[in-house]
Amino acid sequence: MQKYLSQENFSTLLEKLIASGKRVVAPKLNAGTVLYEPLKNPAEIVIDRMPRRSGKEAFFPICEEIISYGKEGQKVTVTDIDPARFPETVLVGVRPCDAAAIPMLDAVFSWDYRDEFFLERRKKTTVVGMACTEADDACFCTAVGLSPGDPKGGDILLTQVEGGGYLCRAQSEKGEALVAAHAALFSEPDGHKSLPLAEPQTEKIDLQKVKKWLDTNFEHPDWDSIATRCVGCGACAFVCPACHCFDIVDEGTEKSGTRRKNWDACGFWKFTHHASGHNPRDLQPKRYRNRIMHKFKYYDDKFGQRLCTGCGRCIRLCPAGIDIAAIVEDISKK
Amino acid sequence: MPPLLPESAIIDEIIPQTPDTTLFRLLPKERVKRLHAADFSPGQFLQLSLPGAGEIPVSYCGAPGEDGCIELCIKKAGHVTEFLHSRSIGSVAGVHGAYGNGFPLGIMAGHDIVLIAGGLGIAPIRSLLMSLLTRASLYRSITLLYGARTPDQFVFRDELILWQSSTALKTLFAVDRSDGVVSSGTLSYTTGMLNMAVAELSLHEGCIAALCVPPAAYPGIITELKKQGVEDENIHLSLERRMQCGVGRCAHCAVGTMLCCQDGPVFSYAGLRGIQGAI
Repeated sequence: MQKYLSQENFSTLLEKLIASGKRVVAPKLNAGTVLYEPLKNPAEIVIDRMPRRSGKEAFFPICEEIISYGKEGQKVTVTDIDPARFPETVLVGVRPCDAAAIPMLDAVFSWDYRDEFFLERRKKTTVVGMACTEADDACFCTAVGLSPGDPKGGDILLTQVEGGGYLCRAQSEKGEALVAAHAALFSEPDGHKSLPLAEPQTEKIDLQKVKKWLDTNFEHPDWDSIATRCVGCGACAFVCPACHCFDIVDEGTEKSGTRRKNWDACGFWKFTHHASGHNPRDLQPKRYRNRIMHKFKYYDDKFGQRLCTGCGRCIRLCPAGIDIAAIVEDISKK
Repeated sequence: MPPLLPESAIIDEIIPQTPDTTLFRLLPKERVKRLHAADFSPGQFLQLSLPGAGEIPVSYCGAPGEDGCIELCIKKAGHVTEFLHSRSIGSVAGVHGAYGNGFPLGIMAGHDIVLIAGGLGIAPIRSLLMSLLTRASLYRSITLLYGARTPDQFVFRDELILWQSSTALKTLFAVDRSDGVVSSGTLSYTTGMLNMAVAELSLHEGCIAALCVPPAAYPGIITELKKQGVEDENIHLSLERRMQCGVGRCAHCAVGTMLCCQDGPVFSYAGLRGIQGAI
């Protein structure tokens, strides 16, 4: 069921959510950069600029404590972090490419061992997506089978309408509950017309063909030419909505400190470096190959989907100008 | 799934093996309690946690036993292992585990067993060997092949000498280069790469091989084993990867679609068929 939410009522909704003590996370300007961050007031939301990083950090922070420890004499105390302390959250204004990545992460963090840090936050978060009306030349969601109005991964999808305001479609129990709890702010649509959605300038890539080539071409001279430019900075993994690897480090002294989980990147030389000095991915092309293999083959083999939503962030940010969309498209034509 | 929070253990014994490698024996801090991590099978690993330094995965090198003692043979290689080497008897260390898949002890009865270790790869192989030796008559034969870079790099030297004179197993020790030394104490060894030593074994079909050697040594040794008729299904190898979380999340130890910490670290060579980049 579609409802109409006026621009004014959208602000009121955010205000009410903030006032109710929920953490409301939305794209917000922060020192010149738009990031998904907690809002203090509804006016802070920025809906016309793509956030620099993806929305995944609402569930999977860049850095988080997983245990803390203290030592007195020979007595060591280890304190687990209580996932119950994670706040109820509404993630608003999520781009469809960011929302679509959430189920990809769900699969990783609930497979076999259940990661309570991720899953508890996930359980407590309602995802309010917003369809895109503008795309830049790095956007390629349509090339990987998504679209600027794709509802995948969200609880509610908002679509901007002519003259202001949004059409709102709740698509899960969480989404319906949020609309029902603020029913007075929503009305029946009255001939409201959606703004035209963005049209990324890319062609659909045949991902089956990509997978097929990857299945049989782990060793191929093209990997060298594909990845020679990669400087191994890891920026692509940090801005990616679907990348999810992490590092575990202790911060502190012998007396007290915390164990933290930090984002990591398979592009880093140290990522696979063994204590013995051996490194199975000793050269940058092998690391970049892993990036492509993981996104378009390994993850597919394991979970039946691809680990890329076409957000284009890695293309915008790569200091060496590596364009993953072009690389994958080339592979599809091999 | 073992608990993820480290349990306190104390370092009960510290036995230097080489200038940079040491055997640590750990016991539960509260003697009456058994550590979860003391329940393991050879080839599995635990996470060793040192407050202020960090956490690392380490293979068990002892046999699982009633006493609940955990033996770890550790080389100074980074800041956690350096820190561990600065500890003294009675110091506290955190442990949790056991994780991963070990060697398939269950299928070994009645077979010729050949164990091949290179360098510190002896750690999990010693664990397996000690388990096999508790019921040595179950196996048709047991052969241990252990290679080190130089004679002074052999660890568990006293045990090697005992095993060399034992009738329960056949041993063959090899060094890459002897620097002119032909024997070290009463330990005798040959000079040459491990795969050359493998070529000297006369193995039969149905032989089960368990390997833990440096990554670069695998291809040559596997080729030799196959040449002698050992089947892919019967070659079990412990892969070295940089593990972090130990529970299949962080992606550091990925081997194609598989994860070394969950699907390994012991894989059968047949199971790695088609996984490019594994070996």
